[in-house]
Amino acid sequence: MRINKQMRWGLVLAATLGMTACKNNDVDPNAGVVASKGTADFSRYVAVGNSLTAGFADNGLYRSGQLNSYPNILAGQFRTVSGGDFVQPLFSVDSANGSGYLKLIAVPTLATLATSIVPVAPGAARGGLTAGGSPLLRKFTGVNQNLGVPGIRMADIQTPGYGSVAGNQYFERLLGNPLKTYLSYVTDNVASATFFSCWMGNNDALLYAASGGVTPITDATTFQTNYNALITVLTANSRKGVVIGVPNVTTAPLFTTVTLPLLLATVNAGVQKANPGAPVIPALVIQGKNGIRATQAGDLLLLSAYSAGAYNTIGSTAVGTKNGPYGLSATNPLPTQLVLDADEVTAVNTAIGGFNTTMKAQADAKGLAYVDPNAVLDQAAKGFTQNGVTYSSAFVSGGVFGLDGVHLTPAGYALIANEIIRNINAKYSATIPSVDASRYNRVVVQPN
Amino acid sequence: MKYIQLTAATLLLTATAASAQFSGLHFGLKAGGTATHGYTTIPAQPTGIDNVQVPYLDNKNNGIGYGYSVGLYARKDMRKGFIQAEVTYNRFVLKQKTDVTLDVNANPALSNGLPVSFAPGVLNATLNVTSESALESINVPIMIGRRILDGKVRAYFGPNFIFVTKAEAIRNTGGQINANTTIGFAATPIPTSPSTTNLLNKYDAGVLEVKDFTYAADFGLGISPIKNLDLDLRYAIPVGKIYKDKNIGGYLGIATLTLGYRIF
Repeated sequence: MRINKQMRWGLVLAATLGMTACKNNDVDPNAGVVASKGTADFSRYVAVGNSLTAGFADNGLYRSGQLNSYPNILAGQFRTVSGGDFVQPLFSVDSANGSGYLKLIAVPTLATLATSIVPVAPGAARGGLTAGGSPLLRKFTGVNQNLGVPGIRMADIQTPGYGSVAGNQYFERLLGNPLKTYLSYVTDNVASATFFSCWMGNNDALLYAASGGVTPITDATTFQTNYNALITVLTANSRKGVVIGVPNVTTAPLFTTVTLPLLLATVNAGVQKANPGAPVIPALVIQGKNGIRATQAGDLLLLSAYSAGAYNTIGSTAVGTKNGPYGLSATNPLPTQLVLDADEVTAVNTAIGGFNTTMKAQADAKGLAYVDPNAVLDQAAKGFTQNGVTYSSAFVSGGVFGLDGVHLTPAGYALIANEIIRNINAKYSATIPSVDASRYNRVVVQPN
Repeated sequence: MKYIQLTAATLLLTATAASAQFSGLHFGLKAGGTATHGYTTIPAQPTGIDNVQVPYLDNKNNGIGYGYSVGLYARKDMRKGFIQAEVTYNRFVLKQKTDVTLDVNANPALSNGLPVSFAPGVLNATLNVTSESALESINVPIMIGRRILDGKVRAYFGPNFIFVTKAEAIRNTGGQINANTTIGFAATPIPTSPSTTNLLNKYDAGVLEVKDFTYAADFGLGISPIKNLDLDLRYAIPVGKIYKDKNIGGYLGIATLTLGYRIF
């Protein structure tokens, strides 16, 4: 099974196992390069974005993830070219677990996945819940340079009340006035900035994909209107910056780890055990975007649904419509939220392409650096080795994606930071040094 | 500084040789083998990761390492004693071994080779390392000594100025990552693999960076069984230390057996 192949624990040891401390076996990529800021001014940097900007990882926002956010990594490199301090809305040490997150307590196999990945309770809950049932988090309403808000869509940035208890727990944490819009919050905090980064738009597509096509994709007009408004604020007074496009979300482990052949093999194994000699089931039956049909190549299953046991009842007549075997009958198909079917994949990829066209056009019009994150993530999908570490988009063992299958590990954020630096250097004739991603953690095994 | 010292020493030898018209002055060639042994202790080193360090290392002697020595000499005989200056090119080989258990995070090559990261203290490895450190140098020993039996036997001692031209370590490292049943990690062998480290490059050598100049205390015994032929056995202790890091301890001894031919 694919997941087992992904979770090989054999060593791919580099040729050298030096016995001295602090030895780097690779050539320093920045050797001989004098750091310079080029035509940009990094003295006050502000980062705008969503969960990826906030340092969200392993299905949570917590202090360690915040410290390894790509803006914090960038700010560290900007300091080599006269960059200033960078203030993040860090959870304090005594509330370091933040919103809570997932952690890996043992080396997993497919069979032990559910027990190897366990939740860590929130450390920063201040009492009370949002309307959606999420815990309210300890406030951080001071000066802030990392404006990343997990979950925010471009569609949300001009919505009053998005930062209230009726809205987003992470934005609510940052606001004194709960009716302030995100665009207004950005306007306030970017006023004295000399340089910005903006990585928005992921959730306008991701929420659709992660819900199996249930949550609507943000319409192109709303996206463009709000993006134009945001960029207008960010580029006021000819402020320079970098904008990052939307990744092809369906290449993330959330969608690629549990494959149809894997699930069918599991289903057929169960059938054969219960009824030896029964015909092999060639496909599942799903409620797709365009109606009920048999699964086909290009349909994607969700790791989150698998982990929650949502596929365990396939074949049962006691679930779903209870009218025929669940997931195997046209009268009792797998519901749409459990499958991102091929038509929905096409829809989300088309939308992402449109969003990226909008963002790149704005970047070009305003003279901003533009970063295609897929330059890194597509490379990860194929696998590559850098400084002795082999990266891929495989779940857990690939090193790039964290335990929620969507957000990045510290090493993944470092790789993205390097791609951003590369594009900043090219756009602004700068020579900001890159970081050694191998010095950042991948998924960490940390037993209780 | 290194080359100023080397030039001064060479000039001294040249001047000595140029004075060969004076009686009791001899000039010759010499060649032979070197045999090196010793051990090295390296204190625990920080890694920059909380609660993770490279532990104290005890690199034990692993047999005699053989090399060579070739060069020329000038000797001024006096009534009962003599003074001799040499310029030689040498290769010394130090063979060592060590076994160490350390946190996988203490060795980037080890941690990078694993498909996930591990929190400090969760996973350790036991490594078995053998090494051959080869040091090549231009040596300028200045020996003073006593002539016995009309010069057929010589006993001498003196300083040896060592100008290192090349230093590298070839290591073979193997072992295993030890099992941790709590996290479901089975013991995993680490296949033995070779590596080469330039000990003169601080980025490559790290704490084991070798000095490019040092000095030793030499003492030896020579015999001249037949006219114009010198057989010398010498032992050198590099009292000036080999490594730049003053905290590295241990012992290094070099024996040299050479045959010399006295040209005049």
